[in-house]
Amino acid sequence: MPDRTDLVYLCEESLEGTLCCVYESYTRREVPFDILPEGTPTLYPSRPVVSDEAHAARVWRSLLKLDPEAAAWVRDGWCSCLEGREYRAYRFIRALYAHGPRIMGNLADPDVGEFFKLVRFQRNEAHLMKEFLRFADYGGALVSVIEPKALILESLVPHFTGRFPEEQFMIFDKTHGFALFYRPYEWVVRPVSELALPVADAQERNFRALWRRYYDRIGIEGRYNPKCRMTHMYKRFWKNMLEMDRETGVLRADERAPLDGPSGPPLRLE
Amino acid sequence: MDLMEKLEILSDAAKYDAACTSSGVDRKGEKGGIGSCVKAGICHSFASDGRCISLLKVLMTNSCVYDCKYCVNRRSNDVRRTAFTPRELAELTIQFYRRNYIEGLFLSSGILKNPDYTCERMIQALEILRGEYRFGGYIHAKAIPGADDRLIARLGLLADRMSVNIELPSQQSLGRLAPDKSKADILRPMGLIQTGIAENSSDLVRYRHAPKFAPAGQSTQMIIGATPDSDLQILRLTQGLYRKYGLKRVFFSAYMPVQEDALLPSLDTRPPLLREHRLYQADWLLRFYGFDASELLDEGHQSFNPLVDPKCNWAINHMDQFPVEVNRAPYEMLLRVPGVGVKSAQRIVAARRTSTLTFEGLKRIGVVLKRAQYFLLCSGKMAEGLVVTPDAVLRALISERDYERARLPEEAPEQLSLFDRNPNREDVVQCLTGQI
Repeated sequence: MPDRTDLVYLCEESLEGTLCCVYESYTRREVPFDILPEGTPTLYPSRPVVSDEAHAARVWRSLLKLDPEAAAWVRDGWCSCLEGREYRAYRFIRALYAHGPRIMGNLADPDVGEFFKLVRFQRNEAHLMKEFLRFADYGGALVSVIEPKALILESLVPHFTGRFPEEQFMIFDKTHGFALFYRPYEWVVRPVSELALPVADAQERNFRALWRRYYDRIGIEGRYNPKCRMTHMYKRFWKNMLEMDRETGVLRADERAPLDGPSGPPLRLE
Repeated sequence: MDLMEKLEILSDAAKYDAACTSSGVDRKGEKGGIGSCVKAGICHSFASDGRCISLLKVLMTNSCVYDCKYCVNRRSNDVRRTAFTPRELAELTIQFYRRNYIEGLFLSSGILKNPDYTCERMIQALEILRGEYRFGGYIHAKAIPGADDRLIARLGLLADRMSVNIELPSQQSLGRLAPDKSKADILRPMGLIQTGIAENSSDLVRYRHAPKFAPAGQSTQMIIGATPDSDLQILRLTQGLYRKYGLKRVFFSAYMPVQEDALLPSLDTRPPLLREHRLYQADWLLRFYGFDASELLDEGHQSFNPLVDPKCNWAINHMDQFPVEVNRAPYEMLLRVPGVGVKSAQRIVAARRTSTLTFEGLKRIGVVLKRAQYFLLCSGKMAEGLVVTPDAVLRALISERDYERARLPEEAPEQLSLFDRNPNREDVVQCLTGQI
């Protein structure tokens, strides 16, 4: 296979787009040295890769056939949204084709090790959300707003639908503009750009206050250790955790805003 | 008294219990019910002291007929007393649970009237949760010492984990500070739970749907620093509990001076947090790293080295067994290398099946080379450019802060010299083990 060490692939920013690059690379018998989302400026000679569902599906089937866990790695690694995910996924798939799924056990391999970092990041992020996500009850339905760094909504599905089978809930991923909707025994993930929350009722406010009081009392003053707390619970999660975010009382900032009335025209900085 | 006040008093009274884990059992949620359990446990928040909050940790009541000197709820202490009704508590648990605040309930209690009555009230609350709400989340229940065997058995069928706190690591300390309790009182329910779990596991083999007795096992807690017991005594007792009573966890709680008493450390004593930390490190070595208590401490060394962790301490004292070859060493030996944890050791074993490992590869796997490099060889070679000086090793093995504290006195800037002998491995070892 001739190596085109100076070639860059430009692909659609999706998992399908990345899989198409794998297809393209094998059918053209060339090895790109980077894969960038289309529209990224680059000085290297580049080849735009047009997404084709059939090509992507073929690569995906090959992964499933090799090892379903390998396919899960590719999906989760891509969902990590970290820089270079396209190229690292491509390198991983190449290693997989060359050595078989056994290679996944060898994290000392650069292609596998580097890609596994992305997989681990996405899975950690999903786990952290299972921990720190907070639901609020609005008239019987549960709503949660989260701001994860990775695409994790679908990873949360088995956990929360299994745990709350009889509830109706919605988890809104504010960073990426998606929401997971569930009502007994069916779920769906849909793009949602904005979410206006109603004001919490008295009962909901009461439980929030109770939880805060509990949180405040359970820490032992003589062992106060804010640094230890922060290493376990990063500050970026705090604004969506009601025990940590107290600026606007028991109400969330976005619940509070409409109550305070319009605040005049928004500032424009451009 | 309203719910807010009750919650405040009863969580305040429960917070000195260290255990807040929700681990040890996997249970799927069921249609028509609420709740599931995850084997590894889930923390939902971290309190201002950095400890995990996983369960709603409260007492059923803080009234108590006992008068244990170290306890905030002792009879002679003048504090506000209150109690949850079983329904109140069940309702609160469910409402917190469905908002994803908690993973379940940790229920303990002061002794109201008598142990049987107290135990019955706890059972009532748990029955509402498990029966009415079909709650499948985690429940940790404290066995009440002195309660009837049948009550303990019923509690065990409702809870995932049971615990009996030993509190004080020796019979003498117990006699001095908890005159109403005896060693037998504490060990009896522990034994009951153990037989309950054992009988249940044989039932489960016979009948798949046999109700499960405390499927996440039992745990206990000891207070560290309220009495003059040594680390060695505590660690031996811990190991005994794991082996004899099949405990899942032993928790340590640095003693927080909350009341004045001639028999207790004075109120201005700082809690021995480092000691507690070292005990937990040693506890991990016992449970996951195949160490024996006698390897970590002995009659000559009754307490832990404050500067280095127990694993490093062991390694430094057994330099004859190092360095080990990464590509050939057995798993058990890899686990003993400072800087290699259970995960890294497993990954090393998996990775070396397909290729020969280098230091570069080890780094990628997640080995902490800063510490491990002094104890490992890759294909017969030490890490490139590794300078073995007492200072470098010390810096690598202990934390930055301790390093500042432990700096050797002759730290004056040094001139390059052609003749000074560079210290070798033996010098370093001697320096760290205090033989110089």
